[in-house]
Amino acid sequence: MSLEDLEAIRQLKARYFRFVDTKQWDRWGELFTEDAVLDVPLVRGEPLRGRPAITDRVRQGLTPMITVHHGHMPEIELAGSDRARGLWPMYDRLLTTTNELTADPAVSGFGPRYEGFGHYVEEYARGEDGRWRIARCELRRLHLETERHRRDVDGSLPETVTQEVG
Amino acid sequence: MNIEEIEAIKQLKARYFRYLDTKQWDRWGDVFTQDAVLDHPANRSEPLRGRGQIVETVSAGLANRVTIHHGHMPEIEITGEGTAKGIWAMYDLLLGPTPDGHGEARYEGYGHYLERYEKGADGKWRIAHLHLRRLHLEIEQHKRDLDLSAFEQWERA
Repeated sequence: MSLEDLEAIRQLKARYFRFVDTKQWDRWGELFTEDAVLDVPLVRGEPLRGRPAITDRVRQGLTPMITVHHGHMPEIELAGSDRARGLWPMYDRLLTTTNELTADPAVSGFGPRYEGFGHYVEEYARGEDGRWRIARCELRRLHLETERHRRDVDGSLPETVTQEVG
Repeated sequence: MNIEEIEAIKQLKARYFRYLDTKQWDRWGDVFTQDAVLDHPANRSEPLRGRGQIVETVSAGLANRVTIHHGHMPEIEITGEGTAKGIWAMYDLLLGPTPDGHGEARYEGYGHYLERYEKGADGKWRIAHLHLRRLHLEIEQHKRDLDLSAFEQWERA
């Protein structure tokens, strides 16, 4: 076990969180290998494959939100000299910042706001430049709290809003 | 990369949080260099300068508040002989009276500490510069506003 490599991977994950929350998308993309896979509930269906697809989709999804991501208590294992895998318990808070009331009751209201708990299950690879990058990132939720405030001017029961899980 | 120095700085920041939240102000002051700067632009426009002013101002501001501070995901880099810099993601919860003293306020904050560290002649790392930047702050206030004069006026009418 190389303590230096473990620390480098912890700092890699710290930059992953910091560049997401401060929305520095080019620097964020650089933390992934070119052929990385991102599999998170924010993205419906198939996992995202490749750095450009990952960066574009996440930038699009998170730009209109205030986000806070924290990681805790990593378990990281080196597998050979240039591969590693890790588990990170995580907490995140996502707040939609466009809360305008509109005339259309279907889209009117504010939110959604999410508070989430779970684990990142990850694989890392060291490039020829000596830097560790994320090769695979999968987010498994333990719990997600969603808060929505819908205007319901006609008094009918609001549609279930469970389809918008971030 | 020097793992022992990085670990020492992580424990320095742990003591910063612990002494702050347990209000051990003398010990908290010793985590700063004598000429340290504490810059929290969202809270006060001018940075606090020097250990004395930092301890005096922060201890007075938090004296009657419950505080919880957590740090996460440090990125620490040794930049030279006895110098280092670091970034910490942070969360804090502050409970106490509203500024006017007529109610209770709850502040829940998220952000980053951007810091520089120096190692003293005694071999101990200290915080030389602390800059807190917020990502998000939630404020909840419960104010007492019980003025009976309007009710008395209504009774008399």
